[in-house]
Amino acid sequence: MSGPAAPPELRARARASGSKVARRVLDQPLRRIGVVGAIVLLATTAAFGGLEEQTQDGPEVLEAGTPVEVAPFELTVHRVVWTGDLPGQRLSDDGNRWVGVVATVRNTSDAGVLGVTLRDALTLSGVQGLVQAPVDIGVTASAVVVLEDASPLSPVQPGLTYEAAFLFEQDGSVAPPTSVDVQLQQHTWRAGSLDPELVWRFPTTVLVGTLDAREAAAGTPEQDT
Amino acid sequence: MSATDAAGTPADAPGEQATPDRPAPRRRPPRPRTVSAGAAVLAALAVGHLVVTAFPVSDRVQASFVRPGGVGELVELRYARLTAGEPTGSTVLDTDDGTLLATPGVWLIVPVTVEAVGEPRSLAFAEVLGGDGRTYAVFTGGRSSFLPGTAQPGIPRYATLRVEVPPDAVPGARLRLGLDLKDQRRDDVADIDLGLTQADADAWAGDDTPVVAHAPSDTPPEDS
Repeated sequence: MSGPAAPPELRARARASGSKVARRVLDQPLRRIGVVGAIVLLATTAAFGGLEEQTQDGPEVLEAGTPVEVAPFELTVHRVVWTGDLPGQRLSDDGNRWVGVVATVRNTSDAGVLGVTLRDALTLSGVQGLVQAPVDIGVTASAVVVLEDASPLSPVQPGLTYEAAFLFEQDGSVAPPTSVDVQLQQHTWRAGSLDPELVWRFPTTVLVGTLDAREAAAGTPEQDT
Repeated sequence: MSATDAAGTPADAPGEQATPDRPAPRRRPPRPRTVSAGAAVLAALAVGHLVVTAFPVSDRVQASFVRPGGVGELVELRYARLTAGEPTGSTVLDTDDGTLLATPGVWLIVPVTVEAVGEPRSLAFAEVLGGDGRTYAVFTGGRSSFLPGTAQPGIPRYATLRVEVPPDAVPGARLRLGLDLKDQRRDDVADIDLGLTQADADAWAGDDTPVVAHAPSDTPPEDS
């Protein structure tokens, strides 16, 4: 059996101090101090929900046509199409093409949200040749536009339902995709560690789905049903 | 560092160190005066927390100075004098540059006249508080926008605010205008009752005649 963890000098000082608690603690072996410390740590985390059962092991499966809540939006992803010509949108190279994810967008919060938050809410992965550089949540859209008038969807006002397209520019020298991995991110309303302003932050992937991609029938996402 | 060094010198007995030939003096447990001082500190912290919780003073100190007004009324702010004109609306917006924008709701258009006070001012904050309790964001760009540009003192600046809202938000909607886009604390903010009713909402929701949002200018728009 191991002896006390504390050195003799420290134990002597504890005895001289007259504190029973200090003397008893310093007389304990290291193993016992470790066990008690671990129990105290677990009890502390339990007070903040550390022992609660995990409700979700990972991202859920995204299915086309099913509305899903990804705060602060409700998104319904309908289809993925690609086209080389989209009225009102300019490619960085004439030989490139647009990969568009057509979706219904609704802001479920009680205030307008900037389009940059919406752009982070839906990203792609596993698509070769996308012009936009990937970030930790995937590749964000080059633009999110309203289908009816091709204007950039920003701000996204609450209480309105928009038919929109998330547009991703793809290098024309790469074959168009036959399927894409779509990721939906959920934001959290909170202040930053340095910025006290409350905004939607920290997009976290909560749904992932592989959707078929095909060429837009009439060259525009909204006409391809 | 030795274990003895790590334990440190007792704070309540500076210079009093144990030596091999003289045993360390036996220290007494905390006396009542020490305990009282600790209790007093804890009590002060508790009272402070109670005061801050019961009386949210910081919110009131940092609150904006809200200056109410109505359509056609002059609202005097620290940095400008504002007048909101008669609101109009439709389901189609003419952005005055050849573009027509549709909306799943209605477009609410408010002409605003800005007269800078003291120095050139560029108003950047705008939002509409809908009659449905929601806040409709207006930025200096995008679909819902207000970009009056710089108003020079003595020269009225004519601008137009445009915002898309659900028809339910129209009755009772109020327009708030301010100087700083992100921070209106401790500064004047105009709060203008737009005087809108359900009849306005119904009329606009059934109208697809484009309503024009004029570009900002130092001269009044021709049709106003």
